Amino acid sequence: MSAQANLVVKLVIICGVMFGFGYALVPLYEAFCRVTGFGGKTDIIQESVAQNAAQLNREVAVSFTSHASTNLPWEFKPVTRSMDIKIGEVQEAKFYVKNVSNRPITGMATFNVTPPRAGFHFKKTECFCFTEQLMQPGEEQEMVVRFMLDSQMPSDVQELTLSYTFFDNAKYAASGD
Amino acid sequence: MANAAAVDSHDHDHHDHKPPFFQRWFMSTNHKDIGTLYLIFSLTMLFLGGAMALVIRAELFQPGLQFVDPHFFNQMTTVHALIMVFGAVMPGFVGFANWMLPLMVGAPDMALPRMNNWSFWILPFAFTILLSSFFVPGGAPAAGWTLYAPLTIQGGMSVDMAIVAIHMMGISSIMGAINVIVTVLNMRAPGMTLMKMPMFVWTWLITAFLLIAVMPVFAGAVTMLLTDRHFGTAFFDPAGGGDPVLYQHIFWFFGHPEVYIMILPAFGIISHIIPTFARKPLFGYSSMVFATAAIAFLSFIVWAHHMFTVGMPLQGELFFMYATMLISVPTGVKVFNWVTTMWRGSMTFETPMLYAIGVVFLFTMGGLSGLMLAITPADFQYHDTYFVVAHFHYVLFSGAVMAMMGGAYFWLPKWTGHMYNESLGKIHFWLTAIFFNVTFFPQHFLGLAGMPRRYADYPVQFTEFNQWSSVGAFGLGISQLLFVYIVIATVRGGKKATAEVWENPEGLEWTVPSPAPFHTFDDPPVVK
Repeated sequence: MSAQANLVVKLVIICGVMFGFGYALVPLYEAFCRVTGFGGKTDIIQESVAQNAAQLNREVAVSFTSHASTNLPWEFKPVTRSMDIKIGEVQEAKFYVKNVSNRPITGMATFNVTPPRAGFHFKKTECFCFTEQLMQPGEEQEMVVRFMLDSQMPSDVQELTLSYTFFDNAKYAASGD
Repeated sequence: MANAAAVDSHDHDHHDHKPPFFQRWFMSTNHKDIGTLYLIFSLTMLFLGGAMALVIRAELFQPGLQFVDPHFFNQMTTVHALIMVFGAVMPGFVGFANWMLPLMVGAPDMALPRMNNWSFWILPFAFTILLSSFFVPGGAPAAGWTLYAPLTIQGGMSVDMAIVAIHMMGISSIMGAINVIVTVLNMRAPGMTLMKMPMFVWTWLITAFLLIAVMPVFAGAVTMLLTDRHFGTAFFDPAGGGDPVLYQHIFWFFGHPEVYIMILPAFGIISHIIPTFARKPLFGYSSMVFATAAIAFLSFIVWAHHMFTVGMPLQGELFFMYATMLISVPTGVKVFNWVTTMWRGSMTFETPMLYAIGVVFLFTMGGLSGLMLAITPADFQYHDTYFVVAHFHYVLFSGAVMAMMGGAYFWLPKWTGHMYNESLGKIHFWLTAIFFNVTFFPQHFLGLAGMPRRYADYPVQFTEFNQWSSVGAFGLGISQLLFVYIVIATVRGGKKATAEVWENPEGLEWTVPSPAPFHTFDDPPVVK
């Protein structure tokens, strides 16, 4: 192969690698968020582990907000707006959900914790956001999230917000979870 | 033997033989003709994008809605930017590269002439697709040139057309970049070592590496958008578990090096003009080369300064702030080198020199406002305001575009064989420089006062600065017609240019006659 063709091939390979690198940023970013809590990602632990976690005599005010995406005709609001929670204590928060349309709809909730650096220490043992939720026309439900704050929670975090958004899952339902 | 001699003389007679019109311009593999096509295309796009800018400025002359509805206004801001970035600035520099690189390194043509033809002819089709999106239901893309998800996941079919057009532009510029790298690395004249290459060649070589590194990433980002829109993936769509902020990270991983793709070749052009008219060799050549490489390297680790406000960890904000500020060091090296080249030189102020000095002065102002934007806490105030608009027009118009205009005056005699009209050239410079400042300087104040970008309307207290800006914009736009006139007049006639054109200019391009013959350097020159 001539020097010229050789160089062209190398440059084309660089292009291909960089195209792949763009896609590689997706899992890299996921991993980055999981490790650092960046983007308000939370962590999941087993109920048994949570029950045996170290408790501290420090309280954090946790607020809940929720909304349904504009094209999802659901009512969605927290039953309790906020609570003071001891570090290490397993707690439950309830959300009221109602399908106000006349057709069954599957929704999927996404979540986020503010400030983001608290997200990593926000551990869920159970959440309605783990699975798709099917709601019949007019159906009402109280959906539950069980969680705890671990002892590594930065001491300057005195209040945090857990926010949920429900999306219509029709577009993604087929792909499963 | 007689036969061989006949072949020789045949070659010689037809040294300047040009193919008929259609073959010459549509099937060209000649670097000079393709360079000319690129430059004409770039100038056409400059006027098209400029016309859209004037729609924006007409609407913003007064508060309230006068001429266009807000949705069309947003289409204007979006397509104006896409056209200027991918249609005017990038092809403009590729045009300069095509014309000048082979002449500067003593090569007979670009290394891959057929690919060269292909990479140019993709562009008119790409922009036809982009522009025809104005005529589909919902109109052209209106989400901003950055095409941020999730807004672009929702847009109409125009977003798909923009994505296809961007893929084509990307392929075109990647092919252009590969061509530049292969030409520069394989086809230099004997004796021209890397550290003897002219600065324009160096800056383009580094730009070409930036292009092949980041254009594919952008192609990946818009492909993800496309599959999110139509094929059930959820890279950016939160409904399916994606993250819209991820799009911004991928986009700006491309977007920041892209900024230097648009300015490094301008630095190269300036580094040719200033030594010529200061009649001194370029001060600090090797520091210029390393500064260029340093800027290119740093461009990969500063991207998140475009998105300080998305909410990132403090350590992240600090890192991107300091890394961004670090760029001012190599950039400062360049500015000092240009100023030192002028220091105690026998300066004259022909039009190219006026442009070069204008670029050094105005680009540095844009650099300074960039430094202000890099300060994270301050950026929360400036983010997405007219301060940002002023900043990037100072670096892109009075940096990239004015450098290209200076370069055009500088090499026009070499391209056409005629001298341009010097007085008209100077008038064009002063009109451009003054109207440019009238247009964009007040936008700093608007931004500091809190006027957000990309809105068709604004509160009354911003009226006066907006009126300054609109008047300036129309002046700036109309002044460019003078440029077209000067170029056409120079192509048609004028004082004959000598081979050297200027007084003892440096570089191989000045050793060939003016106009540069159709084929040059069939026998490579020897560089000592």
